[in-house]
Amino acid sequence: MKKIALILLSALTFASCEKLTEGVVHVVEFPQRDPVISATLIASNADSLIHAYVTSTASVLDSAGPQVIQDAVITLEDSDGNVLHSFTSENEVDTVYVLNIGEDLGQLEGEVTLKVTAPDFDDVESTTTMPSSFTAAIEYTPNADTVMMWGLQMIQDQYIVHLENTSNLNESYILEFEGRYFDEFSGEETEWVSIYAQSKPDPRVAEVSFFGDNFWVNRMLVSDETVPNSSTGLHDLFFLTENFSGIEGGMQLIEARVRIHSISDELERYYRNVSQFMENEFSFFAEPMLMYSNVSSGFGCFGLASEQVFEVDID
Amino acid sequence: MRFLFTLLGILSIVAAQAQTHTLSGHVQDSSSGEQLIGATIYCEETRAGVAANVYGFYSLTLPEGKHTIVVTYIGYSTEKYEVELTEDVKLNFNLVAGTNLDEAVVTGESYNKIEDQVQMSKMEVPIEQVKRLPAIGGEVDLLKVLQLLPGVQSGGEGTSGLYVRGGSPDQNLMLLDGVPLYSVNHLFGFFSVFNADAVKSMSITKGGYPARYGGRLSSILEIYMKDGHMKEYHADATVSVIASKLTVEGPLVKDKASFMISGRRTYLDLLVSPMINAINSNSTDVTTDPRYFFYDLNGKVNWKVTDKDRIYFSAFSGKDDFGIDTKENYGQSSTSMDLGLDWANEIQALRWNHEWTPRLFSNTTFTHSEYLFNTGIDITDMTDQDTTRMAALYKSGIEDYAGKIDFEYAPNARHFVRFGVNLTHHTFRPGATALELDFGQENPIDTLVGPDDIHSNEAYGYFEDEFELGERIKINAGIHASMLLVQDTTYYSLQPRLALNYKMPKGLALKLSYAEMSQFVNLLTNEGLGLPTDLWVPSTKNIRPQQSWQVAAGLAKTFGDYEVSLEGYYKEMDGLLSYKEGASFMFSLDTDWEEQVTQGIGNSYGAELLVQKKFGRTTGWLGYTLSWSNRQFDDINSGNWYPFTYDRRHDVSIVVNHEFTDKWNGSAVWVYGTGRALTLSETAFTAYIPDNINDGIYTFSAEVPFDKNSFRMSPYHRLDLSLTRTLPLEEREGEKHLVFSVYNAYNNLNPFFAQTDEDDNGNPVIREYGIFPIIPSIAWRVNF
Repeated sequence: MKKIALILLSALTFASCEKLTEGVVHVVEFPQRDPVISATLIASNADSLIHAYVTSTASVLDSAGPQVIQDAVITLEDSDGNVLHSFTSENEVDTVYVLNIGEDLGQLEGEVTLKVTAPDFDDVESTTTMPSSFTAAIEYTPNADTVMMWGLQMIQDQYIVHLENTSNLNESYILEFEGRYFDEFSGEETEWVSIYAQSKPDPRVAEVSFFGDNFWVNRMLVSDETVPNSSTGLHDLFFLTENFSGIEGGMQLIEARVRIHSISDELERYYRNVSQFMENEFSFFAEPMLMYSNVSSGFGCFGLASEQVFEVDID
Repeated sequence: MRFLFTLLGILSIVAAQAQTHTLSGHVQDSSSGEQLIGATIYCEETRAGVAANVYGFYSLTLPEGKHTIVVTYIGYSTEKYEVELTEDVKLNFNLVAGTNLDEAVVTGESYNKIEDQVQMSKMEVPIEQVKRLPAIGGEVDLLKVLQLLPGVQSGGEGTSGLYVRGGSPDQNLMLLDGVPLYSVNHLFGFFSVFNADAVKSMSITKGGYPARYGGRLSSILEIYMKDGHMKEYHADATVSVIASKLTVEGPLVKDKASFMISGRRTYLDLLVSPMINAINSNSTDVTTDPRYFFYDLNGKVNWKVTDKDRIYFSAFSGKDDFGIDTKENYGQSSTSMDLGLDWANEIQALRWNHEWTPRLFSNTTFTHSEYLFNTGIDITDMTDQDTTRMAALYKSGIEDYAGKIDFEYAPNARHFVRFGVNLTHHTFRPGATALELDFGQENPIDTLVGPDDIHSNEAYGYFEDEFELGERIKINAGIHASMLLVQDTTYYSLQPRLALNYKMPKGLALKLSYAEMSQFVNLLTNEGLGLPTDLWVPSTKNIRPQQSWQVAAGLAKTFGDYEVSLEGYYKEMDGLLSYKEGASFMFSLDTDWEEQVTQGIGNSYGAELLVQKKFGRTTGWLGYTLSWSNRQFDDINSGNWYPFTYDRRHDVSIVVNHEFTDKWNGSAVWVYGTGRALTLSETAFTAYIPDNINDGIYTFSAEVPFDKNSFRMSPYHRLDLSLTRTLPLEEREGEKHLVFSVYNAYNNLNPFFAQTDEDDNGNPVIREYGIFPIIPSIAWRVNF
């Protein structure tokens, strides 16, 4: 009996060593999920071109990946069901549906609903509202600060932004700093480009950064959620941008402007979420995350913004 | 306080008017003087009984006259005493061990059958029973035995974490000699810090909490160390493939003071060291020195100052140290990298027991508890010209100083009152990163980045009254009031508690309980990593306390040798704390950890069946749990409800122990559990960010989960076997035990983690990986 037990135990141990080397316990078939529509449409009152990106989702191991849905019908409707704007495949440019409405979209009142239909897919929709207009004032101070970075002294320009919340609701804003430069190296003026900005430590401000295959964008997200009194809470927002004028062969700022979007709650969550997701692709310690969506299929975003561009007097 | 003393005065007067006297004292082991927690003292004439408290003290008030007192304790001979009460009598009972060892199963009360107890959802496992059960590498683990009880689940293959009734591990208050331990893990959670050789008793309460308990939502685990032999010196040594242990106990002053000290250490590093040295000696360019060990030390001193006073000092210290030191030498230059991860626990407790009157007992305790976690990396590059160094050390921890006083008052045999207060000062160090950067610049960077320490004061008071209403109804009612002062914010919590036992005809007991609980400390756990990077953080002005309420109902009855209990429960939780999706706290330079967390709600509900056989040569139990546990956070899973990671629909455990002969004893354990919930990135989609400058868009694609925890890993099942041979020592009084164990006897490699992959045909699959195959082991133990 003892011998039999010993032989059995030895056989099992031997078999287990092989199993452990391989490590795989079970191979579970990947669950099939039908592709659904992923729809993203982000627009502001100042847009005359409206972009809708309508694709199908794909299994993560599908080498073809998500595909653009070619024959979708996209509509924007007001709260009474009236069609405000409509896209079809006729409006498709390359991989994106682009609708040229010939004028600014303008301020849309009340709830606006995005509806997307396409053959072989369930319809999807999403509803949001366009934030109200706002007022802002900007103070600009060149060469306001210096900072040591990797042993180099960098000069920074300062922007102080005052935002006036004209509604009783909490509001969020996206700030983009843009500039045109004189390139001392080539002797030419540049087109408008995005300027990298930082904020001073402030609970009202978060940096959102977006990385892509061939793009990197940095924006400032300002929110009055953490401020007890929203009517006065968004004054004195301090931002710093790099000043390259002191560097030999550098870039001389010749024009500057700040683009401010008052954004819907959905858009705020989307921006934060996408920024976090992209940042975490480089973080071993990050928590797993889902991508925020306010579209009924669970993928994409429908967001509206109210935009103003403020020219900055740099002289 | 005045109200309490007035109430006690009234109760005393009522008791005195009935011409009663009090029999009080301690119940102890006749040989060692060890106090017997939970021993029962029962009067046959009045059919009234009490159980000794955690210090072995009892108080039984009876009418004047002759009484037959029966004293019982599992594993000890039952003793009968004739007592004539004409005045208060102090009587210590000394029980003889070893006469009924095979009766030692699950609960200490024998006269006090399950249907007699008003407390529900509480379970005890005798340590002797624990030592007989199979264990990985022969290293017995107390928490893994608790995982075999219904309503208590493990976190994963081989791990010691406890998930009680849908709660998370931080919702378990783990008390070692009354002091909270914040981390109970050795070896990344595969072993707990509790050394069975140093432990006298353990119990877990998972619902129906009496008012004396508080501070956690899901369970109270109480573990008491041995007091130390009062008469002779004894030693207990165990050698297993994982670690070795030595416990020594004996009198400091015979029958007056004793000590117990127990140490345990792994020797994996010592065994591996010669092999590492041999490998490194073959390569002069690259050397790698991995290290890992853990140790723990338990110590206790017990001093019987007078007949009415005892003082105890107990201490625990444990540490895990893991690291890899790599050196690369390239002639002109060299690089060294030291990667380290260590965590340590320390507690000390000073306790004073005092008997104010035969009916009034108090325990005053001062405690200190500290948990530290460090991890870091240190890289140095050396060339002929210069040296550059980069180091990052991440530290977190928690430290408590506490004082408390607990009173027990027994006006009569059918009435028991407890009350007390506690004050704790917490210091939280919620994770800071020390950065040292020296690239040869004039001013090297040496800075500490991270949140400041947070100090808080927590206090609670309780009043608990256990009494009988007629012959059929027993009630335990009480109130637990707690308060937290943190960051100029004060939180209050008033928590009512009620437990009721209604004895129905034919010995069937219907039990009901309701308990509200509050919790001021939180454990942030990284779900994606599984390393001991857990971070203790407090409730703050922005983080509200965790709260819960739980209702439970159950039936209990003894059928011959079998005790059967069936309980159903429903629990709701609020203020649960979790990292936000995508949060990354470790090594983050973000100083505001509160920005990275979110609070939500949860619920859990289910039914638990426990069938125990307590007597005879074959003992054991069958436990089955059917349960659901869900969570909802506004910032997670798009605000939708999702299953808790450790939501487990079915959980079964069968434990059997059989005494073949006086020399041979065998045990078998079989467990089955529904697979763990898992989040996997399964869907690729595309979206965009507006490019406002160029009136265009930036498109991107992302791979994301469809829903949180929407996958289930394969079910878990395993059989463990053990066989123990016991022989007397030849040269002196004592025993030696040879324990053969087989972990995972039928070699079912259970899943430990899973990841997406492709099969041979390129089809998407989920591959599950295991870590523990069949593991035979042998341990040798001697006690004398």
